[in-house]
Amino acid sequence: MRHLTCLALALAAQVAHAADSPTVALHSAKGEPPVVEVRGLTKEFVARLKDADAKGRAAAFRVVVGGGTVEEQLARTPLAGSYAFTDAGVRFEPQFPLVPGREYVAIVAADPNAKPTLTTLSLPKPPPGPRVSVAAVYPSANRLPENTLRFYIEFSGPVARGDVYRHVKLVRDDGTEVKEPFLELPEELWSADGDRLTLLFHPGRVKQGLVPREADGPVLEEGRSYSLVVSDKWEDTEGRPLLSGAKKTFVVGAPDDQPLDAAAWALAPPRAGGDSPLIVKFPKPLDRAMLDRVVWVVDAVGTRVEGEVTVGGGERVLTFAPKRPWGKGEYRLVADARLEDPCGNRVGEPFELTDGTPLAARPRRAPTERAFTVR
Amino acid sequence: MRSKLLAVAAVLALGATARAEGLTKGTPELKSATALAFGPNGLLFVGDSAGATVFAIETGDAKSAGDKPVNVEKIDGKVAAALGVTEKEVKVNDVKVNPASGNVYLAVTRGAGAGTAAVVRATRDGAVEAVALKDVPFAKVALPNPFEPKDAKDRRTRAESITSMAFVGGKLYVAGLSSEEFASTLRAIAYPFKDADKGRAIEIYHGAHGAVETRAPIRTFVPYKIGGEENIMASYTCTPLVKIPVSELKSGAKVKGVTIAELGNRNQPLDMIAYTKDGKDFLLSANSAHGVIKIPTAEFGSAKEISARVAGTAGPAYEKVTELKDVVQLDKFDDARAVILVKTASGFDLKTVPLP
Repeated sequence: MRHLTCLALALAAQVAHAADSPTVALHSAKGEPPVVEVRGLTKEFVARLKDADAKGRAAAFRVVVGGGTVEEQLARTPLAGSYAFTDAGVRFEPQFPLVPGREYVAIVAADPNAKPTLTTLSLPKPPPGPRVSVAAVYPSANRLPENTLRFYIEFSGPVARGDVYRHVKLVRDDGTEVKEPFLELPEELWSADGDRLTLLFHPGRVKQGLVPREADGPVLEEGRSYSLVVSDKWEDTEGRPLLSGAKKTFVVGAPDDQPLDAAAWALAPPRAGGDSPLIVKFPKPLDRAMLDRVVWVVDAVGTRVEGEVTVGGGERVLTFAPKRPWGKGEYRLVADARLEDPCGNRVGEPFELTDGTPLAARPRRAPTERAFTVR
Repeated sequence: MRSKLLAVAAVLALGATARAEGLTKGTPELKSATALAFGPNGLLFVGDSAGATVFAIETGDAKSAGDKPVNVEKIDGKVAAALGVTEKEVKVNDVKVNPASGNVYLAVTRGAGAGTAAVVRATRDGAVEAVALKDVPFAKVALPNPFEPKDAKDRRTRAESITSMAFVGGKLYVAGLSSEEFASTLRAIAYPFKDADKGRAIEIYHGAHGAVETRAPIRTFVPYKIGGEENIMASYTCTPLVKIPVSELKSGAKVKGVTIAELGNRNQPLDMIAYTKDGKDFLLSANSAHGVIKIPTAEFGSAKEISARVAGTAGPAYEKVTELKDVVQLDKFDDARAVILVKTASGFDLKTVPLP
C-alpha cells in the first residue's frame, strides 16, 4: 500500500519537473461518450503512469463529482473508469457517462509538494423535454369493487423514482386519509417503458379473514366513496414538479369474487377484405395492463395474426386491428390463463381458492379461446 | 485454521483460472441490476428486471480477501461518487457477499427515473469500486415471455420485477413479482444456462387460512435443508413463512407451499439468511416493521401446517434482535458474522456484525 503511494508521488514529481503546464479538458469524439483529457505531459510521465496500478494512477490524475469544499472534493471517491494513453497525454474514460449540466472536477497532482490542480468541467445541458403530467388512472370506472387489487398511474413521461409512495394517498369521503392503503414495495412496480406505476392495495387487507383486514379493516368499504390523490409535488427526472396533480374519485361497490366467463364475451367479427377491427365486449371491466399484453388472435392453423390491440369503454371493450386486411376463414381470440379483472379473478378461477379441492386435482389452466369466422 | 483457509483459497483460485463452462467474453448489457446471487468461484448472477434477463458473470474475485470486517459509512455517498452522481441519484437494490473472497457486492440503480444499472464492490479496506463489465466472461438467459414483445418499450414486455435470487445445488432460484397479474412465480434455472431450460415459472400457492389458497408473491427466500431435504423457505407480505420442497419445483408445475409460521402483521420481510450458531440452526430475517428476527429452525421439519386463522403470530417462537435496527439488506459474511445495510438519518451504512 505504502509502496503504491510512493509510486504515485514519484509520478507526480515527474510531472512537476518535466511538464510545464498540463491542460485538462473534456474531449468528445463523434458518437463516443465524452472523456477527460490531460495534455502537455512528457512521454516518460505517460509511460510511468501506464505502468502504475489503479491507485497510483488515481493519485496522479482523477475525476470526482463537483460541489462542496476543495477538501471534500480531494477526499471524494473518484469516478470509476479507465485510462487510455497517448504520447503526450492521458485520457480518463468514465465507466458511466458524465451527466450533462453536472459539475465534475479533474484533480491533477503535478507536484507532490504543491497543491494539486483542480479543474472544473461540465457538459452543456440540452434543453429539457416537455413537463410531465398524469395521463390516466386505471381502473377508469367510477364504481369499483371492494376487493379491487390495484391502480395503475400512467404518466406522460418519466418521473422520479425511489420514493413514490410519499406522493400518493387515498382519502375517504369524510376527509380522513386511509392509513397505509398500498403495499410499499422497495422495488416500485414500473412498466417496461417506465411511464406506468402499479399501486397494489395491501393484499392482507383485501383478502378475507387475514389478520391485517381483521385488525385494520378493509382499505375500501362498500357504499363509501374515496379519492386517489397524486401529489403535484412529484418531480420528473429533470427535478421539475408535475404540471398538475391528479384526483380520481370513485364509489365502492360489493366485492367481486366471480371468475371470468369467456363464454359471455361478445365478439363482433370483422368482414373479409377490410382492416376494420375485431371488437370484443366484456360483461365486466378487465385489467387494463393485461388486456394490452395477454390477448391476441390466431388464424386457423394457430399462427399469430399481426395487429394492434386497443382497449376502451372503461376496460370493457377490446379491439384488435390487423396489420393486413382480414382473409376469409376461421380465427381464434386467445386470452392467456393469467388474464385478470381488477380484483384478480381469472377465467374459471376466482382470486381466492376456497373450494378446498387439492391443487393436484385441479386441471392445468390453459389459455382461453373464442373462435370467430371472418366471411 | 489459517492453513485451512489458505488451502481453500488456493483451491478457489485454481478453480477461477479455468473459465466456467458456457461463458463467453463480452459486455453484458444490463438494463437494470435488481438482485444478486453468487455461485462458486466468484461467479456472480445479476437479475435484470428491466431486461427480463439473468446474467452470470465471472468476476475473477475468487481469492479470499482475509477476515477483516467490511465497514463503509455513508456507502450511498461513496457509491454515488464512484458512479459520477449524487447520493440522491443512487438506489441500492441488493447486497450480497461473494463467499469466495468475502468482498461485498451491491446492485445499484444510477440516476433518476429508470436510471442505469451498476454493480459495485465494497472491499475490506472500506473502499467502493464499480465492477467493470467490459470484456468479461459471461452468459445470460432471458426469462421466457410468451407474449412476443416487439421491443423493450412494448407493453408486452414482461412486467416482472426480480425480487430475490439464490444459487443452490447447481440451480439458480429466481423469485419474481409482477406489476400486473397477482401471482407468485419462482423459477429454477439450471446452470450452466441452456436454452432448453429457461426455468418456466412454477405457480406457488399457500394456505392463507382455513381452506383459502392464495397465489401471493414471494418477497424474499432462502434455501435451507430440513432433514437432509433441500427446501426454499419463502417469506411473504404480512410475513407468513412458507416451506417449499425443492424436489417439487418442476417446470410448469403447481406447487403448494406449507405455511409453518406467521411472523406478525403490518410487516414486510426484506431479506433472509440461514446460519448455524452453537450447533443450532436459525433463520435471520430483516423486516420493515418488526426489525430483525431470529427464528430457530429445529421444529421446521415437524412443524404443523398453519391452517387456522391466526391472531398475531404462530409457529416456532422467534426472538427479536433489538440491537440491529433499520436493517434493509442482510447477507452472511462468514460462519460467525453477517453484513447488513442500515438506513440512517443521513443515508446508508454497510456494517459487519456478529451473527446473533
